[in-house]
Amino acid sequence: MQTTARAERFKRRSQSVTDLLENLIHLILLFLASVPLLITLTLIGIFVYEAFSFFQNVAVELTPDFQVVSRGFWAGVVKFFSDSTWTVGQFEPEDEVFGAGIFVLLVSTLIVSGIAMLVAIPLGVLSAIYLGEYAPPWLRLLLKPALESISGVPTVILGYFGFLSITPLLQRFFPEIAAQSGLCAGLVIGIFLTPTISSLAEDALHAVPNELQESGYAVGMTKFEVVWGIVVQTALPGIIAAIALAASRAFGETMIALLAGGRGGTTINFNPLEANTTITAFIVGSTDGDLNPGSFLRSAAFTMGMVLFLITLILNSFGNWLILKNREILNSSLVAKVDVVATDQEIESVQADSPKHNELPQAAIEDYQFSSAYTLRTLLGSIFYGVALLATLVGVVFLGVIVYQNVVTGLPYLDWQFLTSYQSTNPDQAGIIVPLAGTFVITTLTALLVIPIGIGGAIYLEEYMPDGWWKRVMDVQIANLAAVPSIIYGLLGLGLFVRLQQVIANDNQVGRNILSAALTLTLIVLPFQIIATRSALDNIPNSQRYAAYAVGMTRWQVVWKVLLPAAAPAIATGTLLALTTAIAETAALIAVGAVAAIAFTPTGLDSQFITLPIQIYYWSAVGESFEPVNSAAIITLISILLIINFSAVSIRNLFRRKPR
Amino acid sequence: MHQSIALQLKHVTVSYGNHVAIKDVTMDIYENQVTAFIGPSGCGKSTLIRCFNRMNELVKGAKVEGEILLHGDNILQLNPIEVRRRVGMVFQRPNPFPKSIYENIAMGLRVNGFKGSKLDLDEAVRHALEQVGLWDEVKNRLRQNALNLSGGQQQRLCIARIIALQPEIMLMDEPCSSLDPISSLLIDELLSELKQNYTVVMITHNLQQAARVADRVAFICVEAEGQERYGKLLEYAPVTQIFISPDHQLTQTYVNTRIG
Repeated sequence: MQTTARAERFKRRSQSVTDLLENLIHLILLFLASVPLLITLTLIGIFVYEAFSFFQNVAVELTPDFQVVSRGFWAGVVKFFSDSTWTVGQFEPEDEVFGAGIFVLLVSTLIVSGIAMLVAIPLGVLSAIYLGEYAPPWLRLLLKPALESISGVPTVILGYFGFLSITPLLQRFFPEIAAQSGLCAGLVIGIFLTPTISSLAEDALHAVPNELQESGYAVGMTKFEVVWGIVVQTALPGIIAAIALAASRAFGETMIALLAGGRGGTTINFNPLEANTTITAFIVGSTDGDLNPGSFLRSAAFTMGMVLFLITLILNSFGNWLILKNREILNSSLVAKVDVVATDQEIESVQADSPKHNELPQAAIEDYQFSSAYTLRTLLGSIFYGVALLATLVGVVFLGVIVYQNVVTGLPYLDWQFLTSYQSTNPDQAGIIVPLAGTFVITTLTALLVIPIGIGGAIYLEEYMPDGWWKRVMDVQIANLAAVPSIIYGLLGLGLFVRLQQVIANDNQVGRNILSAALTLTLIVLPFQIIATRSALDNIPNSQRYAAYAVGMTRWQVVWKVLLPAAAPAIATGTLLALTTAIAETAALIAVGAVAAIAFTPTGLDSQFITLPIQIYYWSAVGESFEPVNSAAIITLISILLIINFSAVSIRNLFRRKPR
Repeated sequence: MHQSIALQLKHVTVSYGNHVAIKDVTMDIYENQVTAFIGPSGCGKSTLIRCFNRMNELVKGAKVEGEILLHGDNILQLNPIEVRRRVGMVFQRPNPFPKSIYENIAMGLRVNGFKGSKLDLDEAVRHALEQVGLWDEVKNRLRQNALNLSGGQQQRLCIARIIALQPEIMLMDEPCSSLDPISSLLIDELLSELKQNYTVVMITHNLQQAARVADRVAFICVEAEGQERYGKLLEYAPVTQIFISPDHQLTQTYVNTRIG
């Protein structure tokens, strides 16, 4: 009787209501988790559609009565691969001089990324070796974040710096170099990608078991010989993966390629001292022209986006596959193969056979001669140490120069008047209130969209979804979305969000507004948000889940009352870091349709928009008189990013110290 | 019979930072003998023998006081790289380089500036593999990755890697602890043969192994002094004395408990 009464006390809510609620939440989470998949499918759908229209219309002929007639899809494909000029945007397909040869852009892209990789591979690998194997802990603590902050600097700032400061430097060596050149873009992209290679390669070096290093020392190797001959070689697959992932980013890098590399040249051009139009620079550049639905330029831009998407997809898949493969190999090699456990009989037989050992030739051989050359080998090690240290410092010094230069030129302009003034053609009166407001509004909107979708989706993937191939598909797919160049999301935003608004309003002039910008940034940030949240949930020990289930919680109650509070600090850190990507984003917003000058702060979702990095982009083209003002804007942007980064890291550290 | 001394320790104290790991060891290690170190876990045996080839220096804050003479040379004044060529080491878990079987042996020779032609190098590799009884097992797959060998074969390869360098002393830190009984036996056999040409210093927790292969045994115990706990060489004597009539009661207890 008594137990029944006790049970009664807990029947506050009927079972069916609880079940209904649980199922409802399950469904909502499932929907949120499927958003990335929807994005991928939409992306492929829109790009394939536009590419199809491109190939349909690229090869045409004029009938005697001057009618433009398509020569068909396959003729278009042939033209695409056989033309030796690229004049898309300047001429129309029916023009005599029209050329649409992909190799023009591809060669330029390869030159720029090739130079970038020539810089990034040695610098990245050497700094990984220095930081991972040589640096004293205090110096590592100082240099690693300094080096890694390069990859957090908005690329519009790096491109502008390359154009403004690196080109004059290069002119001393190559007097004939153009103001914007493939060489300059390649160098800057290379330094930008150094930390990408460095941190991934350092992970790979770190995974090499210490026992292997000991075995090297035990046969009399110097530190350099151990590091170079054993650690680096063992970590090689991981290092190659790092290089592949960095190469994919080099192909997709847009703002540096555009600002430092320029646009120009309509024929295949192998000269890195001239302007080199990369695929990405072409896409952003084409947004100056007629990108209205149905236009040829639009389909061309999307087709190049498709090409870029495929290249980066292949490189990323290769890199991620190699990392997984390498992890498997290392894991299996760590556990020495176990010999079959012997039976007594076998042991006896071995003992019986043992005399055969005595027949082995003893050390009858004469003594070996060694020329150990200790001084030379030690010297070689010291030289390598110096080179590795220098390689680490290159990136740090580069960053230091950027900050120093902008502070010196920009600080005098950075005052209250600058922060609160509107645009002006007079640099002394120009201010950044409109782009600041734009950045604030768009970032806030993005956060409001991405936080529920990202966290909900991550909860589903981490806590609800059963393991299996379907889950692996989702993993791979989200990793790929995170690596898609932002310019492609810009095109997707144009093809999806802007287009939808145009269709609804039945007016092709609308849609390039704050709402589209925020939605596009949501696409960019979402994969990072999901990955960060999943790793936060993944880090909670399973014992917490068991404990929660053991007191009779439902699945959602476990998530809501136990897991989310425990993961909150890490999720907050991840969210803030993901949002810095949104604040720094330039290329995608140019594609969606940012406006060069607006006189008013945003009034609603349908307002035109400009953000701080886009303001920097437009000011960088105005000329010398605006350089100090632009520097002031750059300091403002870097400060905002620094503050957010610092808060993010502080949140993590604050909660790490407090044991729960 | 007068035995010549390979390694001489004079008041050796090893510490990490402020913590003394093993204190004031004085002993002579003889040529062409197997000297076994026994004692409870954490007593500092590994720490001590890692000083013999200066591997302990790879740990931050490590400090060695006293003198260690390798055939009369104070190793603390030699180049550590030279010391490690002259004093080889085999570890608890087999740790071949993730390269071919051939390369595992050739690499150590090459970095140390082996003087000779490619043929001499091949001959040196072959000779080292023969010494550990691995030649017949692997002669047809010298170019295969060494990680494909079994644990026991890997460990013999690691010994061959050291033998190839013709070291004056071979250090072995529990070389059989991760091996199955058959592989373990093979290594024991090997040790008994190797001592005809080499000086072997080994650590073992397996007292049967010590009794089987060692000529002399050093028993290290843990001494407590207030809060401090450090290792101390309690007894060092020929193997029969340690196992049959040790001077110290503590040695007797340790040996009997472990064997019984």
